[in-house]
Amino acid sequence: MNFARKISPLLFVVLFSLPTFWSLLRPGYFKMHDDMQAMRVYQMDKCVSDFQIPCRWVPDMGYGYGYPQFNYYGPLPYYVMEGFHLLGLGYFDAVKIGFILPLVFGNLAMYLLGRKLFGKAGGFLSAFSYAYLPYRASDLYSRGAMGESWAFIFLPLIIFALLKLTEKPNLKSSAFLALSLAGLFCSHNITSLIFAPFAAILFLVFLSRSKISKLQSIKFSVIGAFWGVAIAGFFLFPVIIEKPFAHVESMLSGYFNYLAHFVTLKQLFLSTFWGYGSSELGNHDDLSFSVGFIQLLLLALALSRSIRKRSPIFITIFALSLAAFFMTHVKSSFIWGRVSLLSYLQFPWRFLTLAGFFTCLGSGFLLINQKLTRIWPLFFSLLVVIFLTNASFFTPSVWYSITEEEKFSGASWDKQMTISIFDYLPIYASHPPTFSAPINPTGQGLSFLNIEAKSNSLSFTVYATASSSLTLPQFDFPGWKITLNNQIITHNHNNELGLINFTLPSGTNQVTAKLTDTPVRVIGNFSTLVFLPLSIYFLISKKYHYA
Amino acid sequence: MPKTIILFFLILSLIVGRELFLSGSFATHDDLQVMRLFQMHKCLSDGQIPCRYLSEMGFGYGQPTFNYYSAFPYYVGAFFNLLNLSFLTTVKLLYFLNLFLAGCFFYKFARYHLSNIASIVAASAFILMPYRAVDIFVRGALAEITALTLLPLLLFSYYKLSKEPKTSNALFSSVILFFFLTTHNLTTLISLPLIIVYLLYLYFKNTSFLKHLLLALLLGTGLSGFFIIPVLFERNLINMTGLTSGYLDFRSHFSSLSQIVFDLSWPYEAKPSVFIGVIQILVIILSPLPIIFSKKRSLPILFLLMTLFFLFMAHAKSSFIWESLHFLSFVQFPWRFLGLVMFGSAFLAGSLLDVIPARFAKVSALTIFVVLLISFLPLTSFKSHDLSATDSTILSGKSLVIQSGGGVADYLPISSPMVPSSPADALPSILSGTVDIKKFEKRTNYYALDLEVFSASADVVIPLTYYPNWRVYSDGSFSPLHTTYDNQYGLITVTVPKGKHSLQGFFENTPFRQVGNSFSVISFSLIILLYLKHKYA
Repeated sequence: MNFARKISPLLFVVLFSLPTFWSLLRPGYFKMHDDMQAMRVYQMDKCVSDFQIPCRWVPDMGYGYGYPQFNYYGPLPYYVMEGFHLLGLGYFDAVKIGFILPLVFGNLAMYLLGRKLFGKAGGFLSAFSYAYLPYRASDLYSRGAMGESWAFIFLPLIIFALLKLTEKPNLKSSAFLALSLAGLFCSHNITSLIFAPFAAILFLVFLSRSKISKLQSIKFSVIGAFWGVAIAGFFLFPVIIEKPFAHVESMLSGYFNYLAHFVTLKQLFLSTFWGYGSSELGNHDDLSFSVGFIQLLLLALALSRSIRKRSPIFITIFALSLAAFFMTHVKSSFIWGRVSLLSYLQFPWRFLTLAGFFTCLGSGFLLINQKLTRIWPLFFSLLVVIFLTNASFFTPSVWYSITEEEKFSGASWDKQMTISIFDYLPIYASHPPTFSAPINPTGQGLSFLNIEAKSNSLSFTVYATASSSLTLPQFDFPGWKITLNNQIITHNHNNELGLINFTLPSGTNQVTAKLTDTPVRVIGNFSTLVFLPLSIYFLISKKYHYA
Repeated sequence: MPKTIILFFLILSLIVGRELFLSGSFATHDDLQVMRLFQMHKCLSDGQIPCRYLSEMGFGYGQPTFNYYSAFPYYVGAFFNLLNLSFLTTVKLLYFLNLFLAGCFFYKFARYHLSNIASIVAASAFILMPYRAVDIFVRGALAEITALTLLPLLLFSYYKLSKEPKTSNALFSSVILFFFLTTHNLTTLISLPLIIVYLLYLYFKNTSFLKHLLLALLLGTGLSGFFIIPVLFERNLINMTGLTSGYLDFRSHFSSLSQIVFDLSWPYEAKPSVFIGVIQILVIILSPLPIIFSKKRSLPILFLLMTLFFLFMAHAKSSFIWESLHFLSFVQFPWRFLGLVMFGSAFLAGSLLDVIPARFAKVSALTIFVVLLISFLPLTSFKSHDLSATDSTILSGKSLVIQSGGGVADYLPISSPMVPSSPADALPSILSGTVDIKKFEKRTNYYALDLEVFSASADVVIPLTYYPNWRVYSDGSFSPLHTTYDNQYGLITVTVPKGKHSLQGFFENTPFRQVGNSFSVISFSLIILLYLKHKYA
């Protein structure tokens, strides 16, 4: 009975999340701006089958020249999707699961946080607002932003962990914070960057309200934060240290310059307009930048309720949501101009992730300490209104009845190999390739035998009539090591595309090229290997039970 | 409400509405329900909230249907759609609810005034009156029947409020009033006398609930602001003559006494039956009995007078009232008053039963019920069914064209001097200049046109009738382009200079709609805050 009482609210949350994704529960695939989700899972699968774990270098992107995709791009969702693929799901279905998971677990996490702050009714309202946040529909069904969608799981978890740390400062709470942080780092690292100051402010307010030793809370929070960085080490360390080795600058200019993507007040607060188009300069984007008219209204009503019942926590949440809204507006450009790191966010409206999160969280305050049995007419009316005004956005614009074979062949395959190629193009390439990579290495007077290509390695036997130059169909990138007849040799990348090039002596040669780990990757991998199991141990350990 | 009573009305509705469970669609006079639900769904998908303008109606030239017409039932429908029910199933479900809930609501209302068994009989009489069959099975008047279903709930809420004048009851009442006011303008109009008389009756019984009543009326009206403000103040934006002339002229739809009392024919075409039912006639004749013998005689008197008045309004003798009260012409069919006769006679049936001596009460109740049911059952068939119809057969090909042109003259924007008679072009047409149209996309509240003009400038005609405020913006600019609509269908015409341009048209609010929307939002907020304040206290 006790178990049923515990589980039924969670089931209720899952149940009301269902309409946000049931349009995905059918065969086929759908249109989204970032049309590489299935491709990334496919590439991840190639990595995993080659035991390239963690996966950094994927073979088919970069027009077949290889690509440091997951050295820079949040890999967590793709590991999970690959897990589902290994369980037997196709790539399309794995992607759909990848989109569905945050819609379920994000809402559950929000419920737990909302319930902790405002009680059951408030928790449900926060979770329901969050479930039907139009910006999440934009993220998923218009933009196909997997990483950002996953961020919606970890934002509430991080705040929940911080709250725990001011109640029960111990290693278990630290481990909880560490894991949530690491989850956000490895899903959408740029969101964790902008979220950090917001979370810190909220933590300080939690701390000021806490009745226990503040020093302990701070200590274990700092431990948790560093622990989180350590867990995410395999991804985070290389991202930071190896940033100069990819053409990330293209992500900051032209269309992706943040200056072109501020949002107007009308779009933020009044518009209910919905479109599946793109973000453009001006105030007529055919894309929704709303966190929901009703959600905003609930937040405003919650504010008016807070006048009587002073709640520093709610006021902070409200202020943080305003701050996040401000960052999406052109008036904030002076901050954007000063903090150069922000330009990696590309679109100021990405702050809507935070604005939406805080708005929905704050909306739960409206029903603080109310008993559901007492206010159920209002509660269900609110659910109906939120549902009616937002549920229609949670569906794809176009559904394609295509198969994976069709997606990964012909012209579509060419497209998959080259979309967004500039994002993480290795720095040695002066421009993206215009033709797909040849299967064989190239060079004059060479004949190849036993070519074996893997996601991150290439080995072959080559016969050279004379000493000659050999170019591999792989971009050069820190970590590539060439073994010639069991001897590591130096190579260069002195060609337009920055491909691996070296000199081959005449005769029969055994060549192996392999992407090895640079020291920072080794440290990162090692850090994850140590701290991830450690955090799981502390989280499940009975010794550190919350009691 | 006892579960057995709910079960009783459920079973009764299942019997009466059995044809709603057949597959496919059925023929009624108004066969646009699926289309309207489809359009409402599109509105919500486009973020046009509240839904006002439907660019696929009016043969694709667009029609501001929901700026004037029955919003509430279609929002309920949209809710079911969002729960993954097909449009066709939703229509059937809505009709079914208008049987089942009509019974439940009337029972709840009657139970305050009558005994349990009398309330059951009264509610059954409310379901089982021929005019309901006319509305559902012949005319397909979803909006009207929904309003009639809500009417007892509205009166119930007022009684509850007068009995217990407290905030939560006032808020409940305001929400029901909101449902009612946004459902069917004509029914609202003609049932005003009934509502006012009932409120006066309650007021004289208990004057202390006035404050709460005013709150309920104010908030309910305010909540409906998004709908009723444009209905009241934007009538001048559409061509209204079509709604009150020709076939829809009230003068040609009066009924004679013999039609009301004796005419048992059941025509599916043209003028529907106005026969009010055997029991109903009997009840009206015998209504002096409850008035004489009942201790609570004021309500039977009021309902008898009202019923007689409503019957009179359906009769040609009342034409002097119709001629002098100009606004009544929008009611179009005097026999719409039969919906209120349905209400009044149902209550009278209950009060009659209450004066029958206790030992005969059960037998009489059963007799009345059986006669009601037997005389009603033959009427509960649609004229015909199309068993193979689905959403996709109705909403595609030729059928879609017919559906899009349904009621084309009803809410025709005044900018269109002519009534469109054939489908709109899929692409904009060029009035002058040389133009290459690269992309044209039209939604309920938006269109996008990418084009390249080769001549110095070009006049482009968007296949959409102008209705305030359609505005068009060029290349993301903040101020709209100048548009004209000086052609037979009032199509939006815009002059585009040389070069590549991307135009975006937005359906924007007029000041009246903004005011109406604001009223709704403010009232909604007040209701939430008052409710929480009330519960917190």
